[in-house]
Amino acid sequence: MRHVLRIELRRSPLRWLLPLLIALDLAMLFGRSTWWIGVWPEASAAAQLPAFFFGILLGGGAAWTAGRVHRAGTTEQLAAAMQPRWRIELPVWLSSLIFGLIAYVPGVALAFIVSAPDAGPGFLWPSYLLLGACLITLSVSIGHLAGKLWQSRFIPPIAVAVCLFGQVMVPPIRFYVLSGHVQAEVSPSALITRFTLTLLLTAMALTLPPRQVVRDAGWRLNTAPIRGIAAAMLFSGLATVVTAGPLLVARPAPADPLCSDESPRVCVWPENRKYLGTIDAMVARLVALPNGVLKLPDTFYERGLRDASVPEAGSDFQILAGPVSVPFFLSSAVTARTVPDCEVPQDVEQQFSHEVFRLDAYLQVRTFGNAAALGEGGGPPGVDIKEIVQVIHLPESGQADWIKDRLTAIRQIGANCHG
Amino acid sequence: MASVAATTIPFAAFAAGSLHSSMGSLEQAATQRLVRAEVVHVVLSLLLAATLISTVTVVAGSVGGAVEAIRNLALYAGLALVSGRLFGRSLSWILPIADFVIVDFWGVDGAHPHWWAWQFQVYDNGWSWIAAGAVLAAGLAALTLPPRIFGLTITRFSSSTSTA
Repeated sequence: MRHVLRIELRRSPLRWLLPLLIALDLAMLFGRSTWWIGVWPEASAAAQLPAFFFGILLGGGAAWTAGRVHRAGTTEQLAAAMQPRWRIELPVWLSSLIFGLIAYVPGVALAFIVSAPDAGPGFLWPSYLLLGACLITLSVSIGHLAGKLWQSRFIPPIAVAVCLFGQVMVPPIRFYVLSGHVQAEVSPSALITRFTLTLLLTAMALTLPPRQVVRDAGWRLNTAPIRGIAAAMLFSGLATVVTAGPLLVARPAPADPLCSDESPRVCVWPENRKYLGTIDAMVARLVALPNGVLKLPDTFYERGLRDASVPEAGSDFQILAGPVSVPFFLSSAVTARTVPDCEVPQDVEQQFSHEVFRLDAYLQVRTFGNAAALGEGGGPPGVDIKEIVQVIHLPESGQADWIKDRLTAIRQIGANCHG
Repeated sequence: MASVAATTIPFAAFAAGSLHSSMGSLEQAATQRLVRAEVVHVVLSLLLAATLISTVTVVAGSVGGAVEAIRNLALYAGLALVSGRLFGRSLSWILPIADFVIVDFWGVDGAHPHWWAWQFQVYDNGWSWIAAGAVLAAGLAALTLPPRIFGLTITRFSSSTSTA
């Protein structure tokens, strides 16, 4: 068996695809974004994602490898062999799987190496890595099955692409995650059902006879029920995956979140510790405004650390693709406390919100340190970003006065203000 | 319209892949007459594919999408023909799918496609048409040039093709 596997590995057409798969994996890992580096769950999810994309090519390659019997005209001979079918097909399938896993491992190893310095003690999350390995196995098995079932040279790769890329349209049966934010984890039941479905498909890929054999040799093998049973099992397997619920579920809040010593405090999930200093500096820029013009909360929490029923938890900050999303949340938390509670007559509503938006835009820029916080053409509607940039270059007391002016204007526009 | 960026691939791969013949390696040395027949074959199957996919897209309610489908078909067909030349005609799907994987992953910057993500452009983007036409022209050139000049077929793949 091992000898045959060695021959298969040496002869597999996938060995030509392997450098391409490895290059694709690494390019996808590092070539689009690098903010995932240093956060274990994010790094794990980032290492997992390329598997989804190169799985389409890998599955096509597995289909081509498995279709070899048809191209060589040995379909019938194989069906009449003494050996059970799975023993003949196992080395072929395994060789494709090994090439897929070889393409996957360098990305995982590099994701670990680059993350370790920032992320501190810990390791990549096995759940995400298993999910990726599961998807690779699934790709190979679908490819093997399709390449074997159809004698056509064109249907198998297309079938593979439809099965694998079709997941984009059907979220309940997805085998991948786009990112692994710290508030979420892979649901064990979702992972187990996916793993089981993969095993089921693998068993089918190894044991089902090609369609041609079923058609031409019906006298020898009563195979019709086998295919019926396989289809029924596949359907129930898919149904189980769907009923197992979403792939990502909310994590329980950590008992001891990571908090800064400054006042006000900043608390983040322990996995996000590389962001603590950055966000602390953002809050420090707000604190530095003189004369107490701003009302800051005692603690800024990251989303998910407090129970969602706490009234202020809705404005807890989120780290989305790096810290650039944080100023938005910090600013709205501060604005909510600082802007007085007013009754706003309908005819001045627009004027009122314009003043609030100006203040909000200023706070975002102040928090982040520059106007990049608002993104290109971003920021609250109707706010002149150039004016905000001018304000940010005033001396500290000038900026505080500008804020005071905004608050005075807000009080004048609104009615019955308090707070 | 992102969906025709993917759904046109099978049409293009089938159209180009239908050139496959079990005498492929012999036919590479055939006369110009066969080459002309092959060009007619590809053009007609692409016209058929374009009619099918654009009709379905129009019926589904998107005239712009139908126009984009035709452009994407031209783009992928060019890639499929080059792929068929490189790896053997049975493997015409490799380059279109590889192209899609890469462009789908990197081609969109936030909300807007990059200029080179031709299959994601709106139908009235002129450059995407020029690019699709150029890729199709390259594919047709790969089809018509004699193997001596463009003889890059990787025989390891196609050897198993020709023995079938």
